[in-house]
Amino acid sequence: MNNHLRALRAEHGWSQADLAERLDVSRQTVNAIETGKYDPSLPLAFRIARVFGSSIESIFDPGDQA
Amino acid sequence: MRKAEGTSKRRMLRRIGATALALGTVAWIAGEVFTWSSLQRLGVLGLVLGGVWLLFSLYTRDEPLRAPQRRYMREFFPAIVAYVVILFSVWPLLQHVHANGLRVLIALLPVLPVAFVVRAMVRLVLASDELERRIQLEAISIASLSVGLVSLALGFMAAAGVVLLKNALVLVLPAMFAVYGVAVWWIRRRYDGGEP
Repeated sequence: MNNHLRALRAEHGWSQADLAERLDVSRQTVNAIETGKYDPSLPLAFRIARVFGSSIESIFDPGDQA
Repeated sequence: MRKAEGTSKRRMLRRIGATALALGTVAWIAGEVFTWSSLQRLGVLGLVLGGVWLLFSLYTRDEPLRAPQRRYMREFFPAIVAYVVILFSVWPLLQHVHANGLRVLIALLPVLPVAFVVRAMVRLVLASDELERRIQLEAISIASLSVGLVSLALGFMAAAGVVLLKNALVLVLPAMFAVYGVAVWWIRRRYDGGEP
Protein backbone atom coordinates (compact mmCIF):
# COMPACT_ATOMS: atom_id res chain seq x y z
CA MET A 1 0.00 0.00 0.00
CA ASN A 2 1.31 3.47 -0.89
CA ASN A 3 0.84 6.52 1.31
CA HIS A 4 1.59 10.23 1.47
CA LEU A 5 2.55 10.22 5.13
CA ARG A 6 6.08 11.56 4.66
CA ALA A 7 4.88 14.51 2.55
CA LEU A 8 2.06 15.31 4.97
CA ARG A 9 4.43 15.14 7.91
CA ALA A 10 6.88 17.47 6.14
CA GLU A 11 4.03 19.92 5.42
CA HIS A 12 3.33 20.08 9.16
CA GLY A 13 7.04 20.36 10.00
CA TRP A 14 6.93 17.29 12.23
CA SER A 15 9.73 14.78 12.74
CA GLN A 16 8.94 11.06 12.81
CA ALA A 17 9.31 11.19 16.59
CA ASP A 18 6.80 14.09 16.79
CA LEU A 19 4.22 12.19 14.75
CA ALA A 20 4.89 8.99 16.70
CA GLU A 21 4.16 10.82 19.94
CA ARG A 22 0.90 12.24 18.54
CA LEU A 23 -0.17 8.76 17.42
CA ASP A 24 1.09 7.04 20.59
CA VAL A 25 3.24 4.61 18.60
CA SER A 26 7.01 4.16 18.29
CA ARG A 27 9.09 6.17 15.81
CA GLN A 28 9.99 2.88 14.20
CA THR A 29 6.31 2.23 13.48
CA VAL A 30 5.93 5.64 11.79
CA ASN A 31 9.04 4.94 9.71
CA ALA A 32 7.81 1.45 8.75
CA ILE A 33 4.46 2.88 7.58
CA GLU A 34 6.10 5.73 5.65
CA THR A 35 8.47 3.38 3.83
CA GLY A 36 5.68 0.91 3.05
CA LYS A 37 7.24 -1.85 5.14
CA TYR A 38 4.16 -2.04 7.33
CA ASP A 39 0.48 -1.37 6.61
CA PRO A 40 -1.31 0.08 9.66
CA SER A 41 -4.48 -1.42 11.10
CA LEU A 42 -7.76 0.36 10.37
CA PRO A 43 -7.92 2.02 13.85
CA LEU A 44 -4.35 3.36 13.44
CA ALA A 45 -5.11 4.53 9.89
CA PHE A 46 -8.11 6.45 11.28
CA ARG A 47 -5.88 7.98 13.99
CA ILE A 48 -3.38 9.06 11.32
CA ALA A 49 -6.15 10.60 9.23
CA ARG A 50 -7.53 12.43 12.29
CA VAL A 51 -4.09 13.84 13.21
CA PHE A 52 -3.75 15.33 9.71
CA GLY A 53 -7.41 16.34 9.46
CA SER A 54 -7.79 14.27 6.28
CA SER A 55 -9.59 11.14 5.14
CA ILE A 56 -7.93 7.73 5.03
CA GLU A 57 -8.34 7.63 1.23
CA SER A 58 -6.42 10.88 0.82
CA ILE A 59 -3.44 9.48 2.76
CA PHE A 60 -3.40 5.81 1.80
CA ASP A 61 -3.58 4.43 -1.71
CA PRO A 62 -4.11 0.67 -2.11
CA GLY A 63 -2.18 0.72 -5.42
CA ASP A 64 -2.26 -2.65 -7.16
CA GLN A 65 -4.00 -4.28 -4.19
CA ALA A 66 -7.31 -2.52 -5.00
CA MET B 1 5.48 19.29 21.58
CA ARG B 2 6.51 17.42 24.72
CA LYS B 3 9.76 15.58 24.12
CA ALA B 4 10.19 11.99 25.25
CA GLU B 5 12.08 12.06 28.51
CA GLY B 6 14.77 9.81 29.92
CA THR B 7 17.73 7.97 28.52
CA SER B 8 18.16 6.61 25.02
CA LYS B 9 18.24 2.93 24.09
CA ARG B 10 21.89 3.04 23.09
CA ARG B 11 23.02 4.90 26.21
CA MET B 12 21.03 2.53 28.41
CA LEU B 13 22.58 -0.54 26.77
CA ARG B 14 26.08 0.98 27.12
CA ARG B 15 25.49 1.81 30.77
CA ILE B 16 24.16 -1.67 31.57
CA GLY B 17 26.94 -3.35 29.56
CA ALA B 18 29.66 -1.33 31.29
CA THR B 19 28.14 -2.05 34.72
CA ALA B 20 27.93 -5.79 33.96
CA LEU B 21 31.55 -5.80 32.74
CA ALA B 22 32.75 -3.96 35.86
CA LEU B 23 30.79 -6.19 38.26
CA GLY B 24 31.81 -9.29 36.30
CA THR B 25 35.49 -8.34 36.54
CA VAL B 26 35.22 -7.67 40.29
CA ALA B 27 33.35 -10.97 40.86
CA TRP B 28 35.84 -12.94 38.74
CA ILE B 29 38.87 -11.45 40.53
CA ALA B 30 37.24 -11.99 43.94
CA GLY B 31 36.44 -15.58 42.92
CA GLU B 32 40.10 -16.09 41.96
CA VAL B 33 41.42 -14.54 45.20
CA PHE B 34 39.03 -16.41 47.52
CA THR B 35 38.95 -19.57 45.33
CA TRP B 36 35.17 -19.43 45.24
CA SER B 37 34.01 -21.09 42.00
CA SER B 38 30.39 -19.79 42.16
CA LEU B 39 31.67 -16.22 42.30
CA GLN B 40 34.00 -16.90 39.40
CA ARG B 41 31.12 -18.27 37.30
CA LEU B 42 29.06 -15.19 38.23
CA GLY B 43 31.97 -13.04 37.04
CA VAL B 44 32.17 -14.88 33.71
CA LEU B 45 28.37 -14.47 33.29
CA GLY B 46 28.71 -10.71 33.96
CA LEU B 47 31.55 -10.41 31.43
CA VAL B 48 29.63 -12.32 28.75
CA LEU B 49 26.37 -10.39 29.30
CA GLY B 50 28.25 -7.08 29.45
CA GLY B 51 29.97 -7.89 26.15
CA VAL B 52 26.67 -8.87 24.51
CA TRP B 53 24.92 -5.67 25.69
CA LEU B 54 27.83 -3.48 24.49
CA LEU B 55 27.78 -5.30 21.13
CA PHE B 56 24.01 -4.75 20.80
CA SER B 57 24.47 -1.04 21.67
CA LEU B 58 26.57 -0.61 18.51
CA TYR B 59 23.60 -1.67 16.37
CA THR B 60 20.90 0.17 18.35
CA ARG B 61 19.52 3.55 17.28
CA ASP B 62 20.12 6.44 19.65
CA GLU B 63 16.51 7.34 20.36
CA PRO B 64 14.56 7.79 23.60
CA LEU B 65 12.94 4.84 25.31
CA ARG B 66 9.14 4.94 25.29
CA ALA B 67 7.22 4.79 28.59
CA PRO B 68 6.43 1.02 28.36
CA GLN B 69 10.10 0.28 27.62
CA ARG B 70 11.25 2.40 30.58
CA ARG B 71 8.80 0.54 32.83
CA TYR B 72 10.06 -2.79 31.45
CA MET B 73 13.65 -1.83 32.35
CA ARG B 74 12.57 -0.79 35.83
CA GLU B 75 10.86 -4.16 36.32
CA PHE B 76 13.29 -6.42 34.43
CA PHE B 77 16.65 -5.50 35.93
CA PRO B 78 15.84 -5.75 39.67
CA ALA B 79 14.24 -9.14 38.97
CA ILE B 80 17.20 -10.46 36.96
CA VAL B 81 19.67 -9.19 39.59
CA ALA B 82 17.61 -10.94 42.30
CA TYR B 83 17.67 -14.13 40.19
CA VAL B 84 21.46 -14.07 39.82
CA VAL B 85 21.97 -13.27 43.52
CA ILE B 86 19.64 -16.12 44.59
CA LEU B 87 21.22 -18.54 42.13
CA PHE B 88 24.74 -17.89 43.35
CA SER B 89 24.15 -17.24 47.06
CA VAL B 90 21.00 -19.03 48.30
CA TRP B 91 20.80 -21.98 45.93
CA PRO B 92 24.24 -23.43 46.86
CA LEU B 93 22.87 -23.79 50.42
CA LEU B 94 20.92 -26.83 49.12
CA GLN B 95 23.94 -29.07 49.69
CA HIS B 96 23.80 -28.28 53.43
CA VAL B 97 20.00 -28.48 53.87
CA HIS B 98 18.33 -31.86 54.30
CA ALA B 99 14.77 -31.04 55.43
CA ASN B 100 12.48 -31.73 52.45
CA GLY B 101 10.22 -28.68 52.89
CA LEU B 102 13.15 -26.30 53.09
CA ARG B 103 14.82 -27.96 50.10
CA VAL B 104 11.68 -27.41 48.00
CA LEU B 105 11.55 -23.77 49.13
CA ILE B 106 15.21 -23.10 48.27
CA ALA B 107 14.95 -25.05 44.99
CA LEU B 108 11.97 -22.96 43.85
CA LEU B 109 13.28 -19.60 45.07
CA PRO B 110 15.01 -18.68 41.75
CA VAL B 111 11.67 -19.17 39.96
CA LEU B 112 10.13 -16.23 41.84
CA PRO B 113 12.23 -13.43 40.24
CA VAL B 114 11.91 -15.15 36.85
CA ALA B 115 8.12 -15.01 37.28
CA PHE B 116 8.54 -11.22 37.68
CA VAL B 117 10.64 -11.14 34.49
CA VAL B 118 7.85 -12.97 32.63
CA ARG B 119 5.30 -10.52 34.10
CA ALA B 120 7.44 -7.58 32.91
CA MET B 121 7.62 -9.09 29.40
CA VAL B 122 3.85 -9.64 29.25
CA ARG B 123 3.23 -6.05 30.40
CA LEU B 124 5.66 -4.77 27.75
CA VAL B 125 3.88 -6.70 24.97
CA LEU B 126 0.45 -5.53 26.17
CA ALA B 127 1.61 -1.88 26.24
CA SER B 128 3.32 -2.04 22.84
CA ASP B 129 1.93 -0.58 19.63
CA GLU B 130 0.68 -2.86 16.84
CA LEU B 131 3.97 -3.16 14.92
CA GLU B 132 5.92 -3.82 18.12
CA ARG B 133 3.38 -6.54 19.02
CA ARG B 134 3.90 -8.12 15.63
CA ILE B 135 7.67 -8.09 16.15
CA GLN B 136 7.25 -9.58 19.64
CA LEU B 137 4.88 -12.25 18.31
CA GLU B 138 7.34 -13.28 15.58
CA ALA B 139 10.24 -13.32 18.06
CA ILE B 140 8.32 -15.35 20.66
CA SER B 141 7.21 -17.78 17.92
CA ILE B 142 10.79 -18.23 16.70
CA ALA B 143 12.09 -18.67 20.27
CA SER B 144 9.43 -21.11 21.49
CA LEU B 145 9.37 -23.25 18.34
CA SER B 146 13.15 -23.44 17.85
CA VAL B 147 13.91 -24.17 21.53
CA GLY B 148 10.97 -26.61 21.62
CA LEU B 149 12.31 -28.42 18.56
CA VAL B 150 15.84 -28.65 19.98
CA SER B 151 14.39 -29.84 23.33
CA LEU B 152 12.39 -32.53 21.52
CA ALA B 153 15.45 -33.70 19.59
CA LEU B 154 17.59 -33.77 22.75
CA GLY B 155 14.76 -35.53 24.62
CA PHE B 156 14.64 -38.31 22.04
CA MET B 157 18.44 -38.61 22.08
CA ALA B 158 18.37 -38.86 25.88
CA ALA B 159 15.58 -41.46 25.72
CA ALA B 160 17.71 -43.46 23.28
CA GLY B 161 20.65 -43.22 25.70
CA VAL B 162 22.79 -41.33 23.19
CA VAL B 163 23.22 -38.24 25.39
CA LEU B 164 22.94 -37.75 29.14
CA LEU B 165 20.83 -34.70 30.03
CA LYS B 166 21.49 -33.68 33.60
CA ASN B 167 19.28 -30.81 34.88
CA ALA B 168 18.75 -29.72 31.27
CA LEU B 169 15.16 -28.55 31.91
CA VAL B 170 16.42 -25.44 33.75
CA LEU B 171 18.07 -24.29 30.53
CA VAL B 172 14.86 -24.28 28.48
CA LEU B 173 13.49 -20.89 29.60
CA PRO B 174 16.89 -19.10 29.59
CA ALA B 175 17.47 -20.49 26.08
CA MET B 176 14.06 -19.14 25.01
CA PHE B 177 14.91 -15.71 26.48
CA ALA B 178 18.25 -15.69 24.65
CA VAL B 179 16.76 -16.69 21.27
CA TYR B 180 13.88 -14.24 21.81
CA GLY B 181 16.34 -11.37 22.49
CA VAL B 182 18.35 -12.05 19.34
CA ALA B 183 15.15 -12.61 17.28
CA VAL B 184 13.63 -9.26 18.39
CA TRP B 185 16.84 -7.46 17.46
CA TRP B 186 17.00 -9.25 14.09
CA ILE B 187 13.33 -8.70 13.15
CA ARG B 188 13.49 -5.02 14.18
CA ARG B 189 16.24 -4.45 11.62
CA ARG B 190 13.64 -5.17 8.90
CA TYR B 191 11.61 -2.13 9.99
CA ASP B 192 14.50 0.11 11.00
CA GLY B 193 15.85 3.18 9.27
CA GLY B 194 14.44 6.65 8.79
CA GLU B 195 15.42 9.81 10.62
CA PRO B 196 18.12 9.81 13.29
